[in-house]
Amino acid sequence: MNKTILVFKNELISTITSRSFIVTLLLVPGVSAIMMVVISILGQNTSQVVSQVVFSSAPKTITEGYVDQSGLIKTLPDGINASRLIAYPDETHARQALAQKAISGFYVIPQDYISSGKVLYIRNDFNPLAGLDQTRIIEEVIHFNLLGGNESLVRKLNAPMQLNRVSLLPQTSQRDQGSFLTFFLPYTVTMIFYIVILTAASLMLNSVTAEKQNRIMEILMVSMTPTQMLTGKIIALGLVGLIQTIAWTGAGYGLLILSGQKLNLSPAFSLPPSILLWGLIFFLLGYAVYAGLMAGVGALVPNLREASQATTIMIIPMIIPLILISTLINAPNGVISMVLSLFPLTAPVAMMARLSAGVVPIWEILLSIGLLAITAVLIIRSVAGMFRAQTLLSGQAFNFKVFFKALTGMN
Amino acid sequence: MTKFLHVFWNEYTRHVLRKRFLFALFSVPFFIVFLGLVSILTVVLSTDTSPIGYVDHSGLLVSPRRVTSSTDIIIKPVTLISYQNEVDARAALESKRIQAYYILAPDYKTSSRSELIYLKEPDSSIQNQFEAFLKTNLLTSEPTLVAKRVDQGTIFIIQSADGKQELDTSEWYNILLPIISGVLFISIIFTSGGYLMQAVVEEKENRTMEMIITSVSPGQLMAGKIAGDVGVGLTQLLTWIMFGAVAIGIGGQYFGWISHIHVGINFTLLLLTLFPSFVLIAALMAAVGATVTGAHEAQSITGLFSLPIWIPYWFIYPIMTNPNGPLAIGLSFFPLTAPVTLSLRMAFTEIPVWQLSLNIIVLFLFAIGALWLAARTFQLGMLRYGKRLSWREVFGKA
Repeated sequence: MNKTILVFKNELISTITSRSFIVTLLLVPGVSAIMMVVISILGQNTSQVVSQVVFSSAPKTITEGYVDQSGLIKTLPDGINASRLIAYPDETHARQALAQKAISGFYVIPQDYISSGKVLYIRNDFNPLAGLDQTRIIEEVIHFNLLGGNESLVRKLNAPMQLNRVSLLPQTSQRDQGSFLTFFLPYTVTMIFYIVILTAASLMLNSVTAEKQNRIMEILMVSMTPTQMLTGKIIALGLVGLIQTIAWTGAGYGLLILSGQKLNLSPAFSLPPSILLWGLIFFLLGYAVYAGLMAGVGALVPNLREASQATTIMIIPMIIPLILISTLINAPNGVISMVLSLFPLTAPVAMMARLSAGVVPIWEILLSIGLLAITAVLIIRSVAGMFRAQTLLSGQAFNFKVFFKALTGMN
Repeated sequence: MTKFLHVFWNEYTRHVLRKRFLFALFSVPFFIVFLGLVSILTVVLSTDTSPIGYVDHSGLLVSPRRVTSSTDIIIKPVTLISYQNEVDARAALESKRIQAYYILAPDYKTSSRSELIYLKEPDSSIQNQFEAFLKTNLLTSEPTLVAKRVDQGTIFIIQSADGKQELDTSEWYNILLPIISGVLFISIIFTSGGYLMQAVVEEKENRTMEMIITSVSPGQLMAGKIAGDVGVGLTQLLTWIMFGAVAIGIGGQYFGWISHIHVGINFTLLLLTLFPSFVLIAALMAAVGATVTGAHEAQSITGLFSLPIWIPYWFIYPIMTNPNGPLAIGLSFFPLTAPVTLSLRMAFTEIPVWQLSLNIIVLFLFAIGALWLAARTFQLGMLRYGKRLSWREVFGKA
């Protein structure tokens, strides 16, 4: 126990005081603070001129012309001014006007428009993206004339229903399906969770490979058991990860308050406080599992570069919930979600997605935690077995056969 | 020259023939296909396609005309069931024979008032199907051709004034191509640049470099290495393009629209901008590799390079909507942001010739400068271990 505490202390102090840790810890909130200051200055003081000039989108129009070869367009609907849409007898005239910059673009409606549906749209600056936006006006004109000047029908075709949506289920604080937050909030929570677990676990990988490469590991193994060392390291680096997360989220929250903006979330979107507790538990357990696996990789690979290849495959189970995230958010209690949040390797990320998307039965949470805890213990114990002189010393390249053999203790 | 070729060939084969490279090369296309299949599968699995009911009080749907053509290839059209009154519809909903039902108010024809009743709100693609059904029936009194035209909308063919660039709005997905190719370009630059830096750092760490230098000049060594790694990047690019072409060929037989994918960019111009920026970044990476003391430090510095290259993507919206605005022009003059910005602008507008040629000249100048820097840092950094090179030494007189 004593030795575990020693390892823990050393690891914690050496990581926290290392330059790269401090720099990243300060840099991330620092950069975002600077960006916020810049944005707020641009937004308030300098009368928006600078930002308007630099970030302006294409000038809003604008006069355009059309050449109607089909004889379709007889009148323009009330909303459209004839000076905004000028009729030209033929393409040559229109091209002349375009060259003189009298118009920014023109349409050619061919004779066979009704059967082909094609309209040629010639723009000075090409720019199809702005062009697509612009075509709505001429489209409305065409529809208006096609339907014999029946304006109410045109409008009705644009929006066929003034829909009143009624759900028969008595739902407390129903989330609006259309709101982007319905998807975005669980997505952000899940993403943050994934990143935090991954950074903390890769700290572990770095620490183990470094000590292995400079042969300190072997010396350490002389005076203590691998389990003691691993436990000390895992707890220390877990704490580091936690400190980092708290510092960043704290800084983010502070910035938000400083900037004077309030997060105006409707009550449906505020996350229940219990998610913090569950989040902490799932972070610790999920981190323990992945840190254990990373330590195992670290013990086997000859150097850090080889390790990165192995870790990409290691973290695939964590990415699976991210790939399937729309399913998890849309059907938080479906079969896929349940399986993913119970399977220990995908559980931490999947469960966070579900918890922030809806209500999860308590027995499922507890079962998932139990399974995760058992897996964590098993993995740490078997990874400890990998720190044997024989595996540590051999300079052989990493492969998964060796990894699983060592994990199950078969050699 | 033969020594240059030796270095080049050695650098090229030792990466390309490595298992890890081949793995990365082939896994990416398969991974993309896999992701595509998974997302299609999730959409299909998570969309409820049980019937939709409707109660029509307005008399619009007395003898309804069905929607003939479906635009959605993934979601099957749902069955629409008419109910006489709300009680029947509600009973059907509660017994789960339908997933939701619409009610059209008696004054629907004038007010558009309507209601949607559900237990769980139907997917938006399902709601769109009902809207399409309504539109078809609103147009029943019009001549068939007119109704069809209004329903299907207009296809705009957007052309630049000189007719050189053209985009069919029914093939809007071609807009995405320049964005995707930009991402592809960045990822390739980084993998091959990363290889280069690794090679330099590694040879420095195990002192191979000093031995090689006894028989090759630093300039030859650097040029050979950079050429080798640019070759690796091009191999990767060509392989992926080949996979893409095969995918378009095969996909085109099943989904007609895929065969309409075409790149509306001038390829020679693109190559002219991509090649120097490729060399520029590779040379900068090599210079970093020669300056730093270990692989660990090198990795954190690469991060710094990646930041400016991604900048055009942060501002992708202003660049795309105003491709000749000051921001877009400014970013295309800065060598690290130029390649992505230029390829985006090329797809969305016509860049004035003088700007384009100036940009390319700037890129080439910077590429040559970076090559010089790489050779120089390399020369100075030799035989110095555990000590970093300072920038003053690099730019000062030797």
